[in-house]
This record gives sequence, structure tokens and C-alpha cells, in this order.
Amino acid sequence: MQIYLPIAELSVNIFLLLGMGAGVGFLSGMFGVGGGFLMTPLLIFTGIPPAVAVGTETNQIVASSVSGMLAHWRRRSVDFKMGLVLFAGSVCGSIPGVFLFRFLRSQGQIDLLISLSYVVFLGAIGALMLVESIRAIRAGAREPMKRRRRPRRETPFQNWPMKMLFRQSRLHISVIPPLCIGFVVGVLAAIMGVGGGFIMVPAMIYLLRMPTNVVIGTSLFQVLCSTSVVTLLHATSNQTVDTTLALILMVGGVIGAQLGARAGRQIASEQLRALLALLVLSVCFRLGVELVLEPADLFVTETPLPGF
Amino acid sequence: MARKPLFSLVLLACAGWLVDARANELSTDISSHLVAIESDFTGEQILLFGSIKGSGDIEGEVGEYDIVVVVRGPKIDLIERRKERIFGIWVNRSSALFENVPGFYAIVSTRPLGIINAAGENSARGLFERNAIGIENLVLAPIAVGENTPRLSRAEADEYRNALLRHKVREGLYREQPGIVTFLGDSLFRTTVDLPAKVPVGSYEIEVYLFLDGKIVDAQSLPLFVNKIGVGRYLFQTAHERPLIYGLCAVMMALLIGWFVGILFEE
Repeated sequence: MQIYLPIAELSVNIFLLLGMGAGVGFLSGMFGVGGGFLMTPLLIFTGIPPAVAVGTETNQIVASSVSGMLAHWRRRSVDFKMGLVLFAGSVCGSIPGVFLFRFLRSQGQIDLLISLSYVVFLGAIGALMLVESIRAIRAGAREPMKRRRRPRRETPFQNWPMKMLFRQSRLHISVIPPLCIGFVVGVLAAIMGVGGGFIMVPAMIYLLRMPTNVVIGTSLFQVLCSTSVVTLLHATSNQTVDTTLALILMVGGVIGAQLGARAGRQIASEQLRALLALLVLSVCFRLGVELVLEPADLFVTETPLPGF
Repeated sequence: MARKPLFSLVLLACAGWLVDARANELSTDISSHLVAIESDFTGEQILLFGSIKGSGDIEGEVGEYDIVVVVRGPKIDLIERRKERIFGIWVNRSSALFENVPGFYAIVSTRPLGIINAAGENSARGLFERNAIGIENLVLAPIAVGENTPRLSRAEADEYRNALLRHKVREGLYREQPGIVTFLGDSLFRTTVDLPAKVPVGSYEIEVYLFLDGKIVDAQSLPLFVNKIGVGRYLFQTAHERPLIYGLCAVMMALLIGWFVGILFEE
């Protein structure tokens, strides 16, 4: 059954979209990743204009992060103060990000920027995940993994100014590093249509030295706030948020995520994590190939944006 | 489609008109003057039918009729971009702007335009060129984009033009289909025009030309409107005219769905 997407202005099979939502939702429920970095390229492969894929995906991430954040809130594992500082940084990043997006779109270069950022980030994350999971598989075969050294309490930014007390994280650190992390995540959210958890979680653990139990909840809280703002920015300056598409993806994603979370509790995950890494790498590869191979048609037709 | 009853209705109407003595007069209509793009829109086929009044009244040898139907969509601006390889990757490098080109252009006829023209000993060519009948007669003049860009050379302009035509033909938005206007008897004719799913919205103009032995004898024009309706139209309008409200609603929808799911699967 075809459904006409009024903002993307094309018809797509609704079951294909539901399936994509469910598939990516399943993976994100199983591995606790956001899924934006898989969904946006998939939407592009389906033929959705990249700019609409990014704007719509940020809208979907709002929904998928709310339910996760609520669960963490009930367990009191959200550092709202830290989340708000990160959020402040991300707003500073996403505003110029969305304007850059609009400018490059008018110049016909936004598809290139989206593809390039995905190739770089998917390549890096996929490689890291693959290495880590292979190491875990090997270690698991020999002996149970040694407990990692507890991260030191002191951060590298101990003497930076503008210190703030984060009670929930038991940290007293400068606000500059979390603001910078938020900024980077905000830019990525605006350009790539991702929540940015995959950058933020390691940064919170290794740079800010936050206790691991509050990291996921805080990250989800920041993703929720930041994707809400980015959705609003894309809607107002680019008109690239297709709510019909977002709604279908949300429905598929919700079902998939619940199934994935259930499956994740029962299956040994090292092998699956390696598979996810391979999947990420293959998406990266496909995007990369399209950039490098000579296209069948060297020309593209676009509708000029008003005002340029 | 209720083609049979419609057909007999036309037949009946024509029987009345045939009494009229004026020769070679067209009267045509289409199955629907409004094409509505709803959420399940995958394209639509429009039926065009008509009759030639007084065709039977001419004394002696009746010549050969030809019908040419041109469907023009709303005028739009388009940018054509050309990729070049930079540092190993293919990048949009130069571009050209086309102003006021038809967003949709279909031409259907009884015979190829060249043959109609030849039948009239070249008398139709001027008309084809003046009225942009036939894809090769469309006025497509690319303008170089950028501040310091030099004017496009003739070869470059042709490349952009060909690319635009190639893309539009591939999408089914520009098409030329000779031979699909069929006569039913001497004076009745019918044809279909396919509007693909990507058809642009706006007001269209349908021109019907009647040729007798390759010479124009009558023409008629009909309006056609393509519009988004229902939820899709509402969403599109809100997104473009009230983007802030649209954005807020999008976020609210996501928050509510997420919250609802959170409650539903609470452990």
C-alpha cells in the first residue's frame, strides 16, 4: 500500500516504512543505541530527499528518547542539571548547524555534506564497535573479562574556571567541557539527524568522568531536549519535517524497540554487536561508494529555494 | 471507469451536433477537471474525448484529420546541477537556472508531429514553434548561476537542456506519445493522459488542436487543476505558511507518543 508523504512529496510503501522503523527500533532496543544514524541513511536509500530524511528523523528521535528517559527518571538516574548544561551547549551548536544546513541546501551541497558526515562517523563507530566486540568475543573465550579500572575521579579539566556542582553525578567541574560536548552534538544533530548519544555517552564517561549509572539517562534527557529544538529549527527554516513519515516511523520504531529490548535480555550480545558493527560499516560503505563511483547521470534537477 | 455509458452519452450528444452545418469545429471535454492528490495518490489517468462537428457534411473527398493534445503544467523554476570529480568524490560543481518551465508537459497525438507537418506541406511548423508544441519546441533557456560565472556557451546550454529533458522524461513529467489519440468512427476521438505520482500541483492548461490534411482548422483549450486535498494539503500548507506552529505540533506529537509508550510498557 502506497502512502503519499506531503512534505517529501512522493509516494512510498507504508509497510516498507513500518518495517524500517521496526527493524531499526529492534536494533536500538537491543543495543541501547538511538538508531538515528541507521535510519537517516536508510531513508535516503529509499529515495526520501536527504534534507527531509534529516529533518524527519530528528522528529522521530524525540519520541523514541521520551520513553527511555521516563524509565530512567523513575530510577532517578538522570542528572537534570548536567543535562541542561549539555542542552545549552547543543542549542548553541544546532542553531548555526541548521543555518549551515539551509545555506548548503540552497547551494546544492547539503546531500554531499550529509553523506560525507555519515561516511566519516559510521566508519569510525563501526570500526570501533567491531574491534571492541571481537576483543570481547576473544576474551570471553579465554577467561571472563577483567573488571575495568574505575575511572579516576579527577578530570583533566580540574582547574578550568566556571565550576559548577553536579550533585547527581557527584562532580564539581567547570561547565566549559560539557558545553563544548553539547555544542558538537548540537551541530551533528542538525546536520545528520541523529540524537548524538553515540558521541555523548563515551564523552561523558571518559572526559567528564560521570558515574556510569547516570550517563544513559542524562544522555537521553539531553537528546530529547536537543532533538525537540532541532525539529523546531528544521520546521521553521527548512520546512523539511514530514510528520506523516515521522508518525509511521514512530509506530514501527516503538514496536521494534520493545521487541528488541526483550530479545536483548536473552541473547549473548558480543556476536550480535559484531553484526551491528558490520551493518554500520556496510551502510558506510554504500554511502562511500556512491560518492566515489562515477554517477550514471552527472546532472541533478532541483527546485530552487525561495530567497536565494 | 464507466467508459461505456460515457461513450454512449457523447455519441448521443454528437448526433445532435452533427445537424449543425458548421464544419470542422472541435468540441472536447475531459473526465475530470480536478485531480485531487490524497494520501493514497499514485498518479491518475485523465480521459479526454471529443468530436469534430460537421465532419460528415463536407462535399466530396474528406481529408485526413489529426488531433494534437498538449497538457501544460504550472510554470516553475528549476536548477540543474552538474557533478564533477573533486579529490576523488563527485560533487555538484556548476549549475544553471531554468525559469518558467512547465512543471508538466505531455503531448499526445494521432500521428507524430513531423508527419502531420509533412502532410500539410510544412504549414504546421510555424504553429508548432510559436505555441511550443512538441518537446523540442519548448523554450528552455538556462542561465548560469553564481556571481562571476561567465555566460553559458551554446554547448553547455545544450547539455543542461538535455539533462533537464532527460530527467523530466524519466520521471514521466514530460512525455510525447504519438498514436494514442484514436478515432472512433469519423468524428469521435478519445485519448488518455497519464499524470504520474510526482505531478506538480497548480493549474494546468489542456490545448486541443485539430488538423485537416496537416493544416490547423480549429483549437480549443480546457482547464485542469491538480490540488492536494485532505490531510496532506493541510499538513503541507501548515508546514509552509505557519512553520512555527507546525514544528511545535510535530514536537508535541512526538512527546505524546513517546510518553504514551513509556506508560504502556511501564515495568
